[in-house]
Amino acid sequence: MLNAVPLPAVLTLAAALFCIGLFGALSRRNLIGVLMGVELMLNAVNINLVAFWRYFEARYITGQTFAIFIIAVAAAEAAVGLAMVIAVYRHYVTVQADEIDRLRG
Amino acid sequence: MTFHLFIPIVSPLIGAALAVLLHRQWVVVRALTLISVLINLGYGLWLMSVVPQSGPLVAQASGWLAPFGISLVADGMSALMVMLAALLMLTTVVYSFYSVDREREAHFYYPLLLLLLLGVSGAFLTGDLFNLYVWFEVLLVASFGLITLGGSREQLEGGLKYVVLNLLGSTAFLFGCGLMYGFAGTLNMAHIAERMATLADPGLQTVLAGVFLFAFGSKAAIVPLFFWLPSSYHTPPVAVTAIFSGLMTKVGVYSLYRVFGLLLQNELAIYAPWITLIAGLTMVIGVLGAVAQMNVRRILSFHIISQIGYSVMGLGLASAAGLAAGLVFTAHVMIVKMALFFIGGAAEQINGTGDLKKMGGLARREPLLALFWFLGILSLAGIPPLSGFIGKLILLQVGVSQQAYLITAVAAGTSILTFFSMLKIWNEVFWKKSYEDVNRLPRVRFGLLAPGAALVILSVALGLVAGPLVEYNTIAGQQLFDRAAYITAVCGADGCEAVYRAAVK
Repeated sequence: MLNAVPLPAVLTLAAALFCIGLFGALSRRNLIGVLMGVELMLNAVNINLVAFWRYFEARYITGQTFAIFIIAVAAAEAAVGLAMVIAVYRHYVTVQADEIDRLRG
Repeated sequence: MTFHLFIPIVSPLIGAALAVLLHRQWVVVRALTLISVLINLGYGLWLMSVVPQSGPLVAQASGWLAPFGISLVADGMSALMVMLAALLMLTTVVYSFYSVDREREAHFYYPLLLLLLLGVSGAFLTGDLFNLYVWFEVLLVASFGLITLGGSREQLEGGLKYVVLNLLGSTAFLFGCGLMYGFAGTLNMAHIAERMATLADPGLQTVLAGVFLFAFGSKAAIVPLFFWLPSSYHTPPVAVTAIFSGLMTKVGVYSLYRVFGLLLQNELAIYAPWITLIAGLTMVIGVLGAVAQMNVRRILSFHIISQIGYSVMGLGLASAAGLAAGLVFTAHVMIVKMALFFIGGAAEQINGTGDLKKMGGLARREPLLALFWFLGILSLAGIPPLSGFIGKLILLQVGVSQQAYLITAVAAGTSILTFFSMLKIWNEVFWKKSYEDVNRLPRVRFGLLAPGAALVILSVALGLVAGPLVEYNTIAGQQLFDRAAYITAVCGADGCEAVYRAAVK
């Protein structure tokens, strides 16, 4: 069961997800898209942590604990981030990052 | 067991919670804030008096043994930083009493300040890499609130850059944590330090060091990761800018010191030339960036970056003496930089604008403000007998003794540029004649002058009585670089691996 999916395969998945998230966070103009990119990156790290736990340290639950903490922290971050997006939308009536800069002064 | 190490975390946490509950009674909120900050300050001072003799103090949460539970560790550097954080927060709170509007106070301004103090103190005291990440998030979420509180257009625009770039930096840090967990099988700092000695995979270690350098570098605003700082720091109220300048980037510096000094010591030797190069570039680019600016707080923001270069230089020297010198400088710059933000901010509030072209004539109108500003810029530039002189002198001495002549020359040259750049504010704000009638401007209130003045006086005092500060930081630098003592303090004489093996059986 453990050998059915080798560790490098899981890590590759996490790396791919991280890169997709990074690309999204850097290239999307929509602020919600940027936040979603960051969330994808956090989830990629979660996959990493759980995979390392499963393959190296399966007797303890440290990896899972980290993952649960990250989910909680990510939720808090998303709450603050989305609150800001709402505040921005109220002011600028758009959530496109480049238009927010152009409307300046 | 030294459970009192939880005091600087518990006190702002309870203070913030009560302040949220009682947010309608603003007197109570102010009193609560002041009390928790004072508790932290008193505790920090006591910690500083104990730690040099006793070595690192350790508390294990709920008595769980070290590699399994959560450890709090206070060594010399942690104690110094906890004390400074509380001291700077105290001056910020006093300044806020006189400068922050009721609207902000009603919308949880003080609880956010306390949460910021909570996150910062936690980050300084934790002995666990994953907890460091969590504390980073705590202080970042609080800072997100502080930087956008009020919600003006400018603040939202600056805040947006701040939030997105800091989130990316945090994610990189977390990514490093994940890799470290896969590599070392633990995230307890002492345990990692112990396993680093036995795990031989130099390639992966170098990658890890690179990830952490990127992550903490983006927090500390080193070249080329500093762009978020000058575009966001001038937008919130002066008190918020000041406390950010004193604490936020310094947490990044602290983490760099901790991770490279304790966990990745072997990598520090490999990265040292690059870190030194980054330090030099950060110094020069920061100070040159300030030249083009015409706004008090924007100029000061660029100078934060320039000063971070000196702190990073201490790391780049890659020795206990270098780290100690970097610590002395960091302590000095935290104090002086905040003083300058307070005084510049007070001048900004008098004039009603931070635009240099529209300001002027304050030397005659507010001689005390001008005096303290001048002492502050002398200290920042490193003129004896002020604390900046001591900070830079020790850095340059260590640089010369380690034959790092180029970075030493750059550091000395940057001081002159710093002084020129600060003189620009002096000329425009204080010296030149005002275009309008200065007598119509409001007088500076005591509460706006006192915090900056107190910090400048502290800088003068530290310069005159530099012996104890330098001695303390020498010990702190040695403690930081002494892996074996750290591991013994956290896990006992046999080390973490022994505890771990015993538990596995």
